[in-house]
Amino acid sequence: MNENKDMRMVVIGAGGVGNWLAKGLGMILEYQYPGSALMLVDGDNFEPKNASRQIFSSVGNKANILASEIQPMLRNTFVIPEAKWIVAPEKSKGKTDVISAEELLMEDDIVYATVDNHAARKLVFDAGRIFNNIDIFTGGNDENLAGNVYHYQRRNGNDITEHPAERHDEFIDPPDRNPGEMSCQERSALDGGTQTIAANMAVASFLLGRTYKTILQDEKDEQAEIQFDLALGLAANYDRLNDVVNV
Amino acid sequence: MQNTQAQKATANNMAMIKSGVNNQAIPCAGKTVAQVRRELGGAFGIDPEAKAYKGKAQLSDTYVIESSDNIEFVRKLGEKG
Repeated sequence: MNENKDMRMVVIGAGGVGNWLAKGLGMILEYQYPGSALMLVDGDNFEPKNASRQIFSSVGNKANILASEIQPMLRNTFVIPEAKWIVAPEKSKGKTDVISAEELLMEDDIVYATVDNHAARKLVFDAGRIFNNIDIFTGGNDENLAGNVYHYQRRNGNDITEHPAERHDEFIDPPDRNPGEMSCQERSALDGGTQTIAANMAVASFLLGRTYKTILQDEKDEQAEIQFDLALGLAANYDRLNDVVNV
Repeated sequence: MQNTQAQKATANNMAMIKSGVNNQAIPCAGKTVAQVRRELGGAFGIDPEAKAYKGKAQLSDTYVIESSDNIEFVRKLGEKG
């Protein structure tokens, strides 16, 4: 068991996956790491159209509302909302509704990038490279019942698992745009697609599973990438430990 | 005797192909990465641009797959969340 008694977990994206994940992480911190902090980061708002996949008590900023719902259940955990979008460092200067991952994150953070686009995920993972000790998880799903999770871990300034850009081109040149860098009109036109609550909850569950194994039990992550398909009833894991051989 | 040899040849023609949740022995030794990507793309959901790896080593499209190879075609990480 990891002996670190006060942690900071940072959930970036409090929507379809982050909404479920934050509640699970809150329980872990409350009962196993009292005195820890759970930070919720999201510049987006809960809207009626989200109600088919997410439980929320009112409309408004996702980070603020989720924090107000979770905090009363957690007496020994500090739930900290940050109602901001993640943007590139050069785009955060002088603005109050955005923040760069470099400004947000700290050494020893355990980070969950559960946003709905690769562009913002890339910003979070790239920022991770400046820290000596950090864990960054991401999880996402497609429009149906398939999805995956990934774990990037750094210790003492070294990549223990591969940065996702080592194999995933979407972390080099994202095919989408970061809503944090869009206008309000562009954001309001975004479509959440036809995601399922089953895939959202499965991603959250796999992320919690990786947290138990690699953070609470402090075990090496030999399955840093996991792909699943709920329709087929299958999951497969991939070794992403950073013992790269150049051939 | 002939049957045994045929079975052995067939077995020697196999390589493990992995992509997403799929992980299966396929008789594809002797084919290039590009050929296998094209032929299995539909069944395995392999993206036409998917990079191929043998362990930690990235393979070129012209790499000829050998029997008993373990080949991964990288599947994109999920976008939505």
